[in-house]
Amino acid sequence: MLLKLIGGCIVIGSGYLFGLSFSETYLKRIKELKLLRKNLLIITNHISYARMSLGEAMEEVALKSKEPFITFFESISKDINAYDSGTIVEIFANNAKKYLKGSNLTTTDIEKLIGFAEILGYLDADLQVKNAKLYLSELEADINELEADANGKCKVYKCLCTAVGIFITIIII
Amino acid sequence: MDKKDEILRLLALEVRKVFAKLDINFNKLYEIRLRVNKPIILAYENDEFFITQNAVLTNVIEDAIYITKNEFKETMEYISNYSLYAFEEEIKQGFITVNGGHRVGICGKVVLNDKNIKTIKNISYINIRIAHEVIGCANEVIPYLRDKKLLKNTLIISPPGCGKTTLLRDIVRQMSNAKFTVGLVDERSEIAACYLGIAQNDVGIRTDILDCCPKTEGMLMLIRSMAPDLIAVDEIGKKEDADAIRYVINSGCAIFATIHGMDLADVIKKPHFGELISDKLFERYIILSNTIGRIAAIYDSEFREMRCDKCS
Repeated sequence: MLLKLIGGCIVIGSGYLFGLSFSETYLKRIKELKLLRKNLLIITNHISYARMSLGEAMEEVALKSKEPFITFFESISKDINAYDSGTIVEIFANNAKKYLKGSNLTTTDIEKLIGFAEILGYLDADLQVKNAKLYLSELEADINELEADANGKCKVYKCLCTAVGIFITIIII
Repeated sequence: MDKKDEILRLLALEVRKVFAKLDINFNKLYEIRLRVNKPIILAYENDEFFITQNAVLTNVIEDAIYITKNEFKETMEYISNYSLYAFEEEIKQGFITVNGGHRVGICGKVVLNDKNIKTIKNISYINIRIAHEVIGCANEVIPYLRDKKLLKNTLIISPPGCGKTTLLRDIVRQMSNAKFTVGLVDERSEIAACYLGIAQNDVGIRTDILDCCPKTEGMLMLIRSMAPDLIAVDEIGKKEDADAIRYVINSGCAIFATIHGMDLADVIKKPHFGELISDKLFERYIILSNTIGRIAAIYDSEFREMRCDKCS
């Protein structure tokens, strides 16, 4: 009986920890999206004000960023300067696959980021900056939505996972 | 990086694979013309060729490889280092200078702003003009252009495409390395061919370059701020250029310039420059012949011939 009780506590505890892990992932996703927004804003400003080349802009952003984006932007800068990595969209896609898959960003977040790459490098800098700002405002809206739901979602994850733990415990017992 | 590598890295990957297999002397390749959905054309050894999938030069258009829209876009990305917006000013002039000093001429839809060119968009036609420096081509003329530390104001006269810019470049290089401070106004970015501010051609160790700067303003700026021993400019032609040259010479600085013309008589007829010549402001005239790189004659300020026709 004691063993069952201990086992039950472990299962319920595990359930709670799973819930905690999911909510942590959710919160980290918000954090990474905010960092991404900051990075892309820096790139946009470099293009808008300094007409900096993309390779340089990526390198600058990598210096000021945090993982997982440091390696991501550094690698993009290297690929740009290698002159054999295909189009800018391909460069973004390949590096996103390599360095952002292990991050807390979802597949949709990464696809949208690759979509951002499609507007980069164009001749009309003003049009480019406008499109970048449009993307950034959409990103901002996503972040706001996620933040608004954060408390609720985290509670749900913890409660749900704890409940599953309790359910499993009941079944076992 | 050699010339072949400099050119290859500009091309889309699929086109690059073909060019990499080409068995030609890249020092004799002058132009690569790319037009969307049209065959690729090379200007090689004073003739024009297509290129086959097997990397062989041909005159048969049916065997020629074409460049697709996506390949052209990819080429433009490499040419601009994925940053076409950073070349806005150059594109207004109709060209981009790339690493190695090569110039990429651009055509497409011109966007105007109050009758001035704002930009060129929908770029669909480019001409990659491959730079060819000729180090030492001025060796024969240098002794005539200076008397120990005294430089002679010099005008190089030639028809288009006969090597006056190449000659001026080597004169600048040699004078710069001979302890003269040179100010270079490179309006069309052809002499030094600066890429990201760095000269791609060898113009000497004491040369200060104003890249993409109008000649008139450039000459005045150099006199005011850089204390040059000599100023070099290419293709003078306007009244303002003549006035600026007068100012430079009166400031005690030597001037080396080039001008379009068949011969001295042709240049004397040009408005404004005839006065410079009759006032004997120039002390040396180098006349190039119709044959590329051939010096026809050198005259002094009294129009006395200083040497006879020799092949360079």
